[in-house]
Amino acid sequence: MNRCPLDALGNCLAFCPLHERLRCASLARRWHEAVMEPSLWAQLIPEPEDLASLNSLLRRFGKNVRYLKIASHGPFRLSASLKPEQLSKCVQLEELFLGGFRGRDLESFCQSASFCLESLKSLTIECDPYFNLGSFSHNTGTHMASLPASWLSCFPNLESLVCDYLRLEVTPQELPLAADCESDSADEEILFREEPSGEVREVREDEASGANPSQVSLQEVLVELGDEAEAEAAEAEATQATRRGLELPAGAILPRERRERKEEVENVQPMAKLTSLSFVAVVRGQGSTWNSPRCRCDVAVLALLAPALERLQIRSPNIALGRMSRRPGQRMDGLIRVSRHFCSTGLRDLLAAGYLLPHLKELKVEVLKDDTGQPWDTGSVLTVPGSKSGRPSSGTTHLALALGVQDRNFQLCVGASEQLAGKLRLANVPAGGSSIATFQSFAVAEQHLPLLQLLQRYQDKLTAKETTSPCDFEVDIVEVT
Amino acid sequence: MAEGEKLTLKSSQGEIFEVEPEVACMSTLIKNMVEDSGTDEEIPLPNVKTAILSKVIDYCRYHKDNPPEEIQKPLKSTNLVECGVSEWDNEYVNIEQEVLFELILAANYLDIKSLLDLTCAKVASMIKGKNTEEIRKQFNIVNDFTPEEEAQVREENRWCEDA
Repeated sequence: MNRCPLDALGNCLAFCPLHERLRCASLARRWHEAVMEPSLWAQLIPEPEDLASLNSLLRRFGKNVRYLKIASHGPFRLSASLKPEQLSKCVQLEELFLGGFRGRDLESFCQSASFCLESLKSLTIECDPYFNLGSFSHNTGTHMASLPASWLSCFPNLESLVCDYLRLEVTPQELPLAADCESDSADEEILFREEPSGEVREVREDEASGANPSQVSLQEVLVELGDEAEAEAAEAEATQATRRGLELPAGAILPRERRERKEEVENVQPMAKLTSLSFVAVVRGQGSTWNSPRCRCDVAVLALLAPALERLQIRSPNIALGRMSRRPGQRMDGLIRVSRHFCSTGLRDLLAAGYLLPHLKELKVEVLKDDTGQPWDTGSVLTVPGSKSGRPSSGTTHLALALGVQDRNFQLCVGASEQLAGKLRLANVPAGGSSIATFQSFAVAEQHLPLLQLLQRYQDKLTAKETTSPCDFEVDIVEVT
Repeated sequence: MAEGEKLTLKSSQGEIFEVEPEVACMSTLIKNMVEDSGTDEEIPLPNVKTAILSKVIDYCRYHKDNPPEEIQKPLKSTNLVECGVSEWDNEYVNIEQEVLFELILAANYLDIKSLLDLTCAKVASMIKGKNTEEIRKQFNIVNDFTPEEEAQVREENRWCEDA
């Protein structure tokens, strides 16, 4: 063993738990040298029982650590063993995983923001199960699993973030546009109007006399177009279902230049370099009601916080099955399914995501539902009726248009149940263009069509002058295990 | 290279081994040599003895079509099978300590990462659960610290001595 090169000796030590690795330092000088080799500490993954000595470890070897993974477990609490300031010793740290947060651990851990770790590129925060769906109410667990967005300013070069809730604690002065979004309908609205000349133009809300500034209802749009019969039909439909207008956030259809000017005045961007985000929802203040303005997937706010996002994953919250009560005979997987459907992401939350996030090229959604409230992994099939005007459907899909990604190569990945995946298999969906068409029938609710057609015409006008190469719009259905 | 053509490897003791290129090229060292100089000449491996080279070739032949699984880090058990090592690999490193160290040197020299990981994991499994004296005895390690140095090192790592 004495002939063994240092790097091979280091490779042996890399398989030892930390306390055994350090114990080997006292075997002989050569072993001591191998233990102190900086490359051995590039990856540091302390076991829960090592957490008590974490401070000592970081003091001695922190400067060599590039990847740090700490997961607390049982009696070993992360908040008791690690203070965020200690991370500042890891001047080369590029990837950080912190897991096992429970109770108020995460909240207290993020209290301190008096350090800056410029090297960090990737941060993963994992919380113990927190979401509790009760018979009459639910507990989102935002107090347990919210990461303050402002805390991320400690990592100015962060490119990838995995967390649960992303909490926004802002005053209107700090984040005026986010504050504008405080109510469900307070996003700056823009209507589409077709001029007598046939030209579709955008109209700001203050121009739109008589229009409800908070909503662009389908009926209003159709009346604007002069199609009263269709408007009546739409109105009748609206009385049967909950009447929900299709509002678009201002950023969705603002010209890029104008949006860029808005971003210039925006000075609160702790996630300015973030290109990849996996999260559950944006939480404002003490938001605790699921899918309320204070706790939902708010793409408009994300666009303000992380305008460079390229990959976005929207997950379901981590379900605390142990705290939920089951009805007699109810199976555990049934309870999981109910919870997942309850927490599904609405298509309306994702409308125009591509306009808001101009670099977005990959969107993964764990459970998606349309505006009728049907989650997509229940197997309900929504059909897209043909256009009454006889206008042929554009090459780009309605779904791509709804997401605002028709101008780029894009991948949408929806985590679906085996049932839906089975349906798609039965439909003999090959990869490529025809799979898009089939997916379209799952994706677009009938009530969206008029708006999408208007958007299409608007987009056609914009792109008429520019010859663009055809874009791939790839849809991937993933079975949830 | 024509189909069916083999590479000629020469051990430090002059023994010749005819080996299929895809097997031999699991070694990054040999792969680079083939890319640089072609396959016509024999490839000398002056740092690898015949018996060890034979054993290395056995490993590469087996894993040519069975890529090894990643081995868990750190090891959770002294039983390598419980750490993601296959039964075949576990049996492969169930050898005398001297041969094991020769294999580590060969894997390091030939740059075969999976073999180096396997043999190093075996050494780590032999360290696991032992105190300093037991490890020294296991590997015939001579304590070359002065008493002062040893006391200082022990003091630095006191918490893990207690663990």
